[in-house]
Amino acid sequence: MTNSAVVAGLGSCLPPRTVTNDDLAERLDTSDAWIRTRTGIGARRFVGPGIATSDLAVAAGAAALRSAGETAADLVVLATTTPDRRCPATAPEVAHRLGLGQVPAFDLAAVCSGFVYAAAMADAVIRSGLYRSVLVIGAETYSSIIDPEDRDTAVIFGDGAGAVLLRSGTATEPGAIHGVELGSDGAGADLVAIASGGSRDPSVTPDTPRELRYFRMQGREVYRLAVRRMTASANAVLAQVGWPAEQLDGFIGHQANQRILDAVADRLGVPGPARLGNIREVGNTAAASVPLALADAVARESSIPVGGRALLTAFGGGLTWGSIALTWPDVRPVELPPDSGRARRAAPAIPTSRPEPVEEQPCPHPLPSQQPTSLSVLS
Amino acid sequence: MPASATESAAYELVSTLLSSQFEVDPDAVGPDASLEDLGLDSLGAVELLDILQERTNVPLETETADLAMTVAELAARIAEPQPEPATTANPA
Repeated sequence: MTNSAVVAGLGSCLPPRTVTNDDLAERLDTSDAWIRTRTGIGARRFVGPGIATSDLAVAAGAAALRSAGETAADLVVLATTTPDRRCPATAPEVAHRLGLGQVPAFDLAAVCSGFVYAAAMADAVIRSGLYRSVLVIGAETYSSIIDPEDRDTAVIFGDGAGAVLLRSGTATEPGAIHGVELGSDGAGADLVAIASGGSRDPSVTPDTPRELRYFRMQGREVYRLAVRRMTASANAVLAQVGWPAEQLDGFIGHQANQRILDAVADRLGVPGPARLGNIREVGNTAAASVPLALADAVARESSIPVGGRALLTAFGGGLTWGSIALTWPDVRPVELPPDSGRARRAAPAIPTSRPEPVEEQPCPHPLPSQQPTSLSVLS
Repeated sequence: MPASATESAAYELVSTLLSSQFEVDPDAVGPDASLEDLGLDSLGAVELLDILQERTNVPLETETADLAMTVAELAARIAEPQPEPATTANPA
């Protein structure tokens, strides 16, 4: 069977507000030079009040459909760490707002590996014949879960969304997925986490310590494991498809940190011109990072041959990791601003302002409208 | 193998790695030079320890990647690994 999943469209959405390193240095003990030398990040985008993950996801999804010249998809998978609400999943609302009718839609949680996981699942359902096209979206609003006072994470993460429309095709077409490799190791579950607010510790109040209610990451160990896991995963998928790293035309790693990306590419032996990314402009956008970087590279890098060999690799909380070998797609990416087409619901009793302007917000994520006391009656 | 010979081999490995993979001037590498003296930052120290761990199979906890550690101290840790690396403080 020669059926393959093929990239038919690429879309992206970045919120308009740019936050520079100098902006962060005004309230954190850091500097532009410190952030650049340790992360390679120069700026990131943050959503403003009232913009949720779904608003970015709808725009990126619409952009990917437009890029493909399509108006339909058989399935929507949204990879995100920051759904609009803890329940329900955000994907059905995204599919509805995209006008896709009553197609199946679900969220997939694998933190920064989420998009690679989702694309791998989409590849499998397309090759199986279950669906002919899948809209895979990675969308995040990390500004809603990071601690603005935590220098280790506040300088790294940004908001955004990227999307890929995968359709049924053949392996010889440009943009075809040739191999996938996924893995996880829950022994490292505490290394990247929001400690409270889940069923393990549902009570989050203004008295909950910041390190429990906000996203936290153990930087050194995560750095070390990110390099090791992405290198091993990339090598595994390259061996599977029989592509030497030296012959790659495009290499896109999860835009976690430029130093990690350099170390992985060095260890793999990826040629300099094939190393692609946009971390300098958008920071680490978690599950959105790989599709955003792919859309950026396809739009920008005219020197990469259509049908050339490309590799996507990611590592994230969980711990999770994964890689995808595909050929360079023959598509023109589309970028759209955040969607504002959805009528806002009646404002919840508790303001939903983001943690940045309000220092003592009760709970940044999930949305404060879901207080722990109400959880027992939700289901 | 005598400890001194092991330590000298470990020292050679650390020095070679520093100049070949961390762009450190070979002339600047000496037993008493700290990782910070040689221009490494915290992530560079993590990376150095990780590569050393891969090459030697000696467990080197990244949380103990101390920039004040000298090349000689690092070589000694590789040559004489502590039995409980997860809980052992920097022997220096």
